[in-house]
Amino acid sequence: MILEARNITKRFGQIIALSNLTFDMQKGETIAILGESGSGKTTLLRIICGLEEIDTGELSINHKVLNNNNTFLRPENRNIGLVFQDNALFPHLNVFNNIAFGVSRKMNRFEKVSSLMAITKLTGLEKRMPHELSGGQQQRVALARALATEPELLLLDEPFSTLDHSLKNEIRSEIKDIIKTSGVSCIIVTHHIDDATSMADRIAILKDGKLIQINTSKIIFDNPASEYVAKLFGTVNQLDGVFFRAKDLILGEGNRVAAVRESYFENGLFQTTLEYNNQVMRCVHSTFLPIETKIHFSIKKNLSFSVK
Amino acid sequence: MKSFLKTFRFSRKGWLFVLLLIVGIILLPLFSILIRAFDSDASTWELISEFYLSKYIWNSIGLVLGVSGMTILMAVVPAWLIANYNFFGRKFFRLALLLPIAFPTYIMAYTYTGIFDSTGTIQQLANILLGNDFANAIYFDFMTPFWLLLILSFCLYPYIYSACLVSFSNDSAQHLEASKILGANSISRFFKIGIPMAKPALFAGLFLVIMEVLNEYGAVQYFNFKTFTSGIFVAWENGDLTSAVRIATFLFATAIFFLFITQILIRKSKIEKTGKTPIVLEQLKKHHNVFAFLFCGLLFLFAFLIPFMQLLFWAIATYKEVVTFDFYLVTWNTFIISMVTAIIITLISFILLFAGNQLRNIGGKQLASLGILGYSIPGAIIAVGIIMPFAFIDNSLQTDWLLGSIFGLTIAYLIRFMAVSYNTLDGALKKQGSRLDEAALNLNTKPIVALFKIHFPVLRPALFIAIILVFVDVMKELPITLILRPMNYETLATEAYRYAQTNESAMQAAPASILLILLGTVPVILLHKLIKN
Amino acid sequence: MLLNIIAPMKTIYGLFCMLVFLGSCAGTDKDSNSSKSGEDHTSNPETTESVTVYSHRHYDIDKEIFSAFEKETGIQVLVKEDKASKLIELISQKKDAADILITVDVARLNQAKNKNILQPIQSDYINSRVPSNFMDSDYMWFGLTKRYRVLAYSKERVNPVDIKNYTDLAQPKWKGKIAVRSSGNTYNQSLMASVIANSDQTKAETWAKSLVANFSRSPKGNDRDQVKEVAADRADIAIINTYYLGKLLNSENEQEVEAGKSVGLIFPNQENSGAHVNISGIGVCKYAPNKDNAIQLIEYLLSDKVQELYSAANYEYPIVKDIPICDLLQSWGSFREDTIALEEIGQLNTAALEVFARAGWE
Repeated sequence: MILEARNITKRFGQIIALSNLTFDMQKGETIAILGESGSGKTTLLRIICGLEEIDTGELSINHKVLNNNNTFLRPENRNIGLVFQDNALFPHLNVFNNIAFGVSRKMNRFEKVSSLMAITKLTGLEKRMPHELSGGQQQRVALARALATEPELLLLDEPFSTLDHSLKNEIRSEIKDIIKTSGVSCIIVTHHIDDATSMADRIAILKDGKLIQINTSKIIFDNPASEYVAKLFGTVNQLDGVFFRAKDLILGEGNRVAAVRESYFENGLFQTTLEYNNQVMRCVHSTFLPIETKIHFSIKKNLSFSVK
Repeated sequence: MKSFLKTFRFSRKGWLFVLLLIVGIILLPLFSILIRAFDSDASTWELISEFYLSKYIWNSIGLVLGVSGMTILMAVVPAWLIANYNFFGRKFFRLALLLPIAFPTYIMAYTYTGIFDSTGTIQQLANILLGNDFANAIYFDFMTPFWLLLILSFCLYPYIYSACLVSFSNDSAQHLEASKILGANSISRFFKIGIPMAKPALFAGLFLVIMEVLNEYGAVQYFNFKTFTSGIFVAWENGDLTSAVRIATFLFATAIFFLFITQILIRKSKIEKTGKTPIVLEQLKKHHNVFAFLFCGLLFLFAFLIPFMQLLFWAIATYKEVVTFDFYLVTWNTFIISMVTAIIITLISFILLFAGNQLRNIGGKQLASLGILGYSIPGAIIAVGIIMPFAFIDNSLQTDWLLGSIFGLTIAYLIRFMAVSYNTLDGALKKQGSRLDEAALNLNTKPIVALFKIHFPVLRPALFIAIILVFVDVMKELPITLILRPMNYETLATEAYRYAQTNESAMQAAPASILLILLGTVPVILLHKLIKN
Repeated sequence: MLLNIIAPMKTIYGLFCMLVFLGSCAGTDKDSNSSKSGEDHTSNPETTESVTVYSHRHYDIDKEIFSAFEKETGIQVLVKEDKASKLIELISQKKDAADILITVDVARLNQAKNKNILQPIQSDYINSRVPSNFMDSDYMWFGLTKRYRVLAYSKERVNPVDIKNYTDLAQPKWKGKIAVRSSGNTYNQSLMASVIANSDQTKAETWAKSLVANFSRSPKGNDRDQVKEVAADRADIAIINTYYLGKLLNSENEQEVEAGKSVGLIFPNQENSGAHVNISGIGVCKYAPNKDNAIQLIEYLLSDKVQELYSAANYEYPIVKDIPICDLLQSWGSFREDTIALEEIGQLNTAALEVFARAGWE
């Protein structure tokens, strides 16, 4: 177990930012913390790296206590890497010095930095200043800088939010590669489900300071703990109080009949909207259905939520 | 009128005219001085160049370097502590350490001499409490260059302190956190991240400090420390204005040199800033807490509280004979002229800035920045430079519009203090990034009304800050006010000067001084509120 | 939008000019109901009689004297106080700016004369009041008050018979014992000019060099500070102007009074040329718009009443002979003063500067 969080609670005045959070993390694992803004995910990140202190609970890394009622290990002594949302590259230092910033003078800095630059495909950019780099390059510098201290745990705060959509997929897989190559344990904070599913082994869902669910994306998709979680992972239909996923709505069978309201082609299938008893459902279908077509349907599998 | 304004579009020619007009007015006294330097009636120039000139040069440069070092130390350490840490009294010091900016240097010098001299407060207290022998044993000569340097630093460090505080607590907060996580301890964070990132702000503040030091004359004259300004006044007093003007050109050259150096330093250290997250304060514990409290506390004590209390005691002792009906009027005069001039100067520098931006492709920006040169000339020399053209206009029109009128006085202040508001607005505009500049570039296709509609709201905080800074400067100003004021017109600064200079009585100068400082602290408190947001 | 900004600006500026205007009236005008501003006094001389004074004297008593003059004559006195050098420059650029120039020493009066900004005044009254050595030979300026540059010695440590002349200050026995302010100060310059006048420049330079070697510290501070140096046992003799000791003795600060009491005064050169005397003086500007009023004011300032007031309130010696002086000045006794024409002292100012420079008097 690399990271253990036990009953972590954090308040800012009257506001409870994190409430009784408990989870573990395995060595080499990548966890994505998913939540909308205000969910407490950034606070959690800042607590893990020591920029905030917790009010109650205990946080430890490799069985070493980082923070509880009696102990607070300062961030500079935690050996945790953090890649800031907007990278926070030191604007007055060039790429090499940015990456070398945290490397101890006792180590062979040049070799260490050079090898990291090779891994992050930055070789040749040593002398560039941060503002002379592209968004993706900046991100890789930030990553290399965080990895240079050989952290026990790497934290990424909204890593792709500043990137163009077109670049995002490419850089995401690059960074995933780098993380997996280095073998470092990693926590990614994001509000994009794609980031979470593509990068993480497990996903933790945070809402209003509470940890709602933590598991692999497949399990969460199939057994979401709440309606909120279910909707994060894809379209959810609700019919007469019953929730089910769009993929579980089967057309052409069953004894209820719905009317087609909309059908258009996208991503190889027809996105279809149906109406039944003044309730709207969405699903995908292999063929085009003209509007007002009446069609039979059945629901293959219901969703049941443990959390309301 | 309104419809006229709406249809009135400023063409490029129009902007050029505005730009040249403002810069022309500011450079006018400069030219009239430079021309005078070539007059042949410099009766004492040989003496000055043989015996004093090198002294003026080295003393001035020495004082600039000394005060620079001292003010940086006084400003950077508390700004760093206050921006990053929570300690006893932090909130109080945050504001309190700005207050010495309201202290005119000459009043600080007189007050401190009154505290330390042989009949001063320290000697009195020592005599009473610990006896005559002890009092004699602790007596020392206060009027040395070291104390002069310290006194000037007390009055001037807030220029750097305020700039660094903003930089540390806003601009570099995230980078400091990043370096923390990368394992940097507080000392290496300070040197590797805090200072380098605060450099542009630090140098901008330092520029103001250097100009103030070069132009200071009350304290240097009292301490008989031979700098350019004291040389200028001595030469002039000796009836040799031409030599005074020649020394002034040396001073001007030195000022330009330092302007150049600081501009290069600012440009070299210029960094692209990102993020504006507020910093999370770290609670200081035990002896660290005590150290932070003591550093800030002692600085506040010496730079403000002690001289302020001393003035207060003197004022209580003398107000009955000094404070008359006129005194309230004088206070009102000071407030209203400082306020209105500050607003006018800020508006004009705002217009200058945009005129410069409009014409940036033909060097308008560089032309506009010539407007800050007035700040590098001592007030008295600006007065000389302005008397000649003003007199020419007044004489030829047979009027008294300029010399000895509030209007003329305002123009002189404009020339002297344009840099203060121009730099503040320019800095704020640069922070806004190129977006606004581009918007400004398109303005020549829009009614001039748009300029105020678009840019006024965006720059509102900077405009307030500029007004406050100019207000405090105008309020303290002496040589220009003295010579260009209307007849029978006194301000608090001239009142304080009257008693301190000719009557040689710091005690009698105290009521005016204390009011002057109080009047200055009000806008400083406002300033604090502004930079906090 | 622009209008919204400019309109209130105009109002503020108008209001502001009005306030300034009121201020400048109320400054001296609180007793008269005149509504003239300070700015247009020259354009309407027929409606309000006025006289414009540019003065280097910043004393409270001057204000009182001027307002008494206003009451008596109905002539409004408009005053601007600043350094004489700046006032002279202003007048030489704008010739009709002032009616009267007042300075606190003779060298500045001489400068004004050389700048051709003064005019000769022939007044039998003035000539009868001001001794001829205290006025310009061309009647350009006249003394108002006298101030002596004398030696304040420590009553504790100095026997006043040990030092009789300014030249004695150069004796080696006073090494590290003399306190004096800077050579930039006009009073010192005139003192040096008188030393030159009474001997020659070379001798003056030798004297100055030895004197500089006797300084207790490098010159700084004002005259009061020099007395305090003596009181604090940092020096034995201070070179000061008489009235500053008067001010010290009448200070609100007890310790300053003590310091003043601890010193005695020596009026030097009693057996030869007499103590060096300087003047605060007055002249009428060449293009004075209100010349008659200016002469009236000068005559008023030379009246018995005002002359007495200068001594009583400001511890200066009256320029007019046989005017009663205050108790303090009386206590300093009668003495011989230098009778050299002050005009000559004014003309030797540049020579004095050269001596200072060569002697290394900071």
